[in-house]
Amino acid sequence: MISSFENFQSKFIEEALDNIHDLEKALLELELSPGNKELIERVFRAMHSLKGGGAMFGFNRLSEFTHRMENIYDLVRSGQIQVSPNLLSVTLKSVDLLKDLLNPALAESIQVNERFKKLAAAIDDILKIETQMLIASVGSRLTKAEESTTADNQMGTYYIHFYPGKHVLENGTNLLYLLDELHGLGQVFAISGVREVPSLEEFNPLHSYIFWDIFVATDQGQNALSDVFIFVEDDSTIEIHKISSSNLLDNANFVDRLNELSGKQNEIELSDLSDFIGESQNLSEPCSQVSEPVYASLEELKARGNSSIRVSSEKIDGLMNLVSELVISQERLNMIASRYQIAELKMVTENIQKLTGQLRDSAFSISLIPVESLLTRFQRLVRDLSGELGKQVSFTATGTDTELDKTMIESLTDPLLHIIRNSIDHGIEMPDERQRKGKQPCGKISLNAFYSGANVVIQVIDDGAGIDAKKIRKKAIEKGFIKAGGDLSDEDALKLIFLPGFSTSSVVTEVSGRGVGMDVVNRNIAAIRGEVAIDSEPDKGTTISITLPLVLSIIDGLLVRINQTLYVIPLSLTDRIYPVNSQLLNRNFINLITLDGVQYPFFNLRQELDLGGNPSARCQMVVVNHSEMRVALAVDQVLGKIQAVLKPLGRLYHDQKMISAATIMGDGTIALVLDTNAIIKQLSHQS
Amino acid sequence: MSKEDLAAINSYLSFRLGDEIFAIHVAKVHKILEMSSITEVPKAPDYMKGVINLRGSVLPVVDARVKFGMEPAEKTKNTSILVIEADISGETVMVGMLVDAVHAVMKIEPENLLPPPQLGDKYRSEFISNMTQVKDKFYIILNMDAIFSSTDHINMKEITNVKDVVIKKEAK
Repeated sequence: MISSFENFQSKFIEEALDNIHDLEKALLELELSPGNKELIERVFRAMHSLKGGGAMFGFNRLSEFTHRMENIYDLVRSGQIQVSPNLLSVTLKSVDLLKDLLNPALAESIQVNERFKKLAAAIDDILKIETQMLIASVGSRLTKAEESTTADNQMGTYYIHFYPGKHVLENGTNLLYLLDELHGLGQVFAISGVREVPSLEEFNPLHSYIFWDIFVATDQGQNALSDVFIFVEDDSTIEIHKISSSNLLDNANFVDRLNELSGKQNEIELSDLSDFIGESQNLSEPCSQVSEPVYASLEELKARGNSSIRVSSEKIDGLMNLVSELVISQERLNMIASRYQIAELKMVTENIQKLTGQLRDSAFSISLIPVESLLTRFQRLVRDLSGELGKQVSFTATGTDTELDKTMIESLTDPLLHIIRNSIDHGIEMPDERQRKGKQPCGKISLNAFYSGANVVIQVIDDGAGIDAKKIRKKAIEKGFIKAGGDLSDEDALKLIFLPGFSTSSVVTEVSGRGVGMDVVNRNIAAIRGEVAIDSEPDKGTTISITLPLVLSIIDGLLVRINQTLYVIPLSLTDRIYPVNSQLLNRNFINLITLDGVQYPFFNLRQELDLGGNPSARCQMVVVNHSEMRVALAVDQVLGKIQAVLKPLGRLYHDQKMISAATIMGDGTIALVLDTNAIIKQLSHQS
Repeated sequence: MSKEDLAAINSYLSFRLGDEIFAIHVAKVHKILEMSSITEVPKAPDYMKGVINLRGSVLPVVDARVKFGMEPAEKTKNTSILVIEADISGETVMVGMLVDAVHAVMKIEPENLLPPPQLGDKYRSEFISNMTQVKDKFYIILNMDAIFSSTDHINMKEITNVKDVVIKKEAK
């Protein structure tokens, strides 16, 4: 594979965004437990990778900026600075800047330049203030500080066994630079091991075969040494041992022995040097202070990642397309098999049907993403906005392992952000007002996700002021949405906020109140076949629930026929089917039918969809679930169950709400997928 | 072939709608299909004829006659579906267009393309991309992007009027 620089660059951007995401997450967690060493380490690692990678791939400004941030967190790491809310705010703002710096279109813009300067100044300020505080406090603990500095800056000789991983060069790492960096820290004696270099025929120039035994005499401490290897430590074996607390490289005998050993090309054993390192105190004790937290967080990362791999979304889309094609072909095979009664063919067909089903399910599960992936942005929003408005808000989330199709997650982000923004701006009251109402000064917003049948429900619940149905009614009358004196239930009144141009906020703020909000949320959710419901009680709070179908692209459906056209009703919504005499429908004026002793409202699809034609003497009623009730739909004939691969009808049918998609049958004809919820909603409005 | 290469081709496909002959640039035409069974989609505008299965994807079909304000097409052996790539507000959309007959591919040099006449508000010429004369016959080259982006019916009379004006001008 030939990779150009641009390719590396885009790969870097992808990785950098991951790093930034991790950084943001760690920072938000750090706010809750400011002293957590592991988190500080995570922050530091992310910054370090960004800095190094940025410089390597030509994002110099990114690298320069991260360098400043890293300086601060280096002090945090060594305990010289405490994590303060101010520091976190600046860092989080910096994280936003980093994102923009990665975007070539934005990186050079004036606004970004301005922000760059401002934040760089803010960071320098923090450094200055903290250093001053440090100097001030030095007086009081002078003796202690002296001790610690001497301990830190004590000269020592370290032995580093550095065995780069085979693939370390593929990341663009230049190993020689690492050695140069070590040289910068002090006196170095490096012995390279070339035993593993294969013969020329087997030699792969992309692989690394060399290892090093390095002796460094430095006064910078183990921290500095392990930082050198921070890029390669994932792939490589790195051991750092302090072998002496004096500079052994000044000792001529020691150097002679090293020269002798390096000539032999054997792996160096510390025991060979025991004469010299006998005097050292903590012999072969792997650098405990530094490496332990690093390893711990690595392990934690691994555990969380569940040994996952990174796959581009195009590949997944490709796989899904293939599975869709397969499902169509399989339906076709089914059809042919049922035409010819061949036992063997039938067996194979059934087997293939089973396998396709399983393949379909696992292909789907690949493209599912947990709701958790959205959380960081929400936490960030809550933090920033509540701070801006002077409100206290705590944000919790449950059921974050609930999984949704990745395209759905993408289209959910903005609506959810909007809902949460509304909750903070309109819902949660100011702390003193909350106390007056007898509530905790700190408001609560929680995001709950859970499965409910064939749907996923995501709720945003706040314990704020709630929405007053009376106010909504008043506003709606003012704006002419409803007539005064009309009879509107509270539930229906609340639904008015989904209308375009409706906003009850009397003050238009930066955040909300412009009346372009909930209607957009509603539309975006409807576009992914979801529904939004709202429930609110004044002074108790508001709950907004989004109900979404689990899958988007393939559904189990009930195949029905009206005239010669085939339609599909989602099986998940189908309750039961009854045969009826079609005369019964024609003489019915109130659209109610009693089936098996139960009365159902019904719609005759032939009439309602203007399909024309004459009904056969007997037709079938399909009873479907629609929110809380059941509705019967009259069709000519129910043909059976199919797996329907949903194909969009395209832009020209954008206004067609009753048909959500089309599907291609085994024989190449097209069946239309009915959106029963939309049909029933629209028809009940008309009648 | 890239878009630039396609645009450099000077070939146009002519087709018949009623008594009128129109042309469109070949780069816009993806395929020509025989008339096949079209699945009607209920509750759609009348010129939306329905959908067909084009190699596993669903293709919406517009009845060009209805779109141009004529009676719906009688199906004949010449009736064809032109699969056209239209640009609808920045999005490339494949659309099938039902026409009475497909005529020929003509080569028209760029210097023989006349700009659409500016006739003021009286006639809407946004649907016409160019006029041209091949031998002694005038053709209207249609702007398919504008036609499919519009949700209205297109007045055939207005378009043919434009043509008459151009013919008169040229005659002078």
